[in-house]
Amino acid sequence: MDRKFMAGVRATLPVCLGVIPVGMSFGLLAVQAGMTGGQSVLMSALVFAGAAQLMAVNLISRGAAVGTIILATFFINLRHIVMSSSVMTRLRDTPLWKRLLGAYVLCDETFAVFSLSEEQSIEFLFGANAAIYVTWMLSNVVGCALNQVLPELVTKSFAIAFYAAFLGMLLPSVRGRRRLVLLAALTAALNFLLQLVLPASWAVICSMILGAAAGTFFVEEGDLA
Amino acid sequence: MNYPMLLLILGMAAVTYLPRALPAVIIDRLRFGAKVEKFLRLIPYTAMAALIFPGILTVDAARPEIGLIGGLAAGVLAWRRRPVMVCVLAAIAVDVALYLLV
Repeated sequence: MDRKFMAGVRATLPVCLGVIPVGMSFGLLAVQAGMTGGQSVLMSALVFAGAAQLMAVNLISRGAAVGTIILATFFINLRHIVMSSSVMTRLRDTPLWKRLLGAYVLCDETFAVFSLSEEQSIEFLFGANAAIYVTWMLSNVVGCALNQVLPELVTKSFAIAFYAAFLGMLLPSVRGRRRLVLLAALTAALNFLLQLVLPASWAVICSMILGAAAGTFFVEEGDLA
Repeated sequence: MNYPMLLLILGMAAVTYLPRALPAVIIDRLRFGAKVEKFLRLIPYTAMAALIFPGILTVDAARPEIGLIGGLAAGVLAWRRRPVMVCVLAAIAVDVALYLLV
């Protein structure tokens, strides 16, 4: 196996551990919302976007229309355009079909791993993608099965997993960099205010864009090393 | 269940792939200045912050403390640079305890 590919797999394993509970939660909640195990696995394979899938399950159980869920999915995943732009600027010399394949599984986690690594090649991205894709699918299947085994008390508590995983990634990366701490706090506060007047998925998109724009004025180059 | 699930899945897949793929196609015509580059690099931080708060308060819409206290447990461990998996398992354990005890 290609050395760069394996480097991508290795660098992604820690965040894969964080994805497992989220994938299990999705499988678990999808079945509770009335999806079959097969449908939930198909959604994971084709959509591959944790936050959007969890949101979709939430909306399905509230009886939302298909169009509404698709629109909300579009907005919650629109942030990938910025992540993909950032990744693709480092992959200008890569053939188009490889870039398109690499873009398919690009997510918050692989973006973070890719951006923080020194080995920014398409092979590395493929390795990172493969690791997280396989983890996501397997944990989804396990989650579906767990519905039969775990008491409701435990399955209900899995809803926190998504947030705990994001805290586990965000906090260590801003610790000791007070301008990034300030930026994260500012963005969260802005999102709180925007959610008073906008639907949650819109507020998230607006605050991540406005927050990053504000950050360009006070975050220094050294904070992003 | 009569929900048009296949339509939903295909629709979600299409609108999700579009913003992922578009930069891959047009990147040859894209050149970013230093300011835009910095903006792009800040997005992961602001995206995670916005996805966490205030959504974490609605983990259990009827009981905001479930998200708050579970999140606090994960947050303290994360701040001490514990692995993501440890943060997640601790948060789940705390919430199980909260449901059991309170």
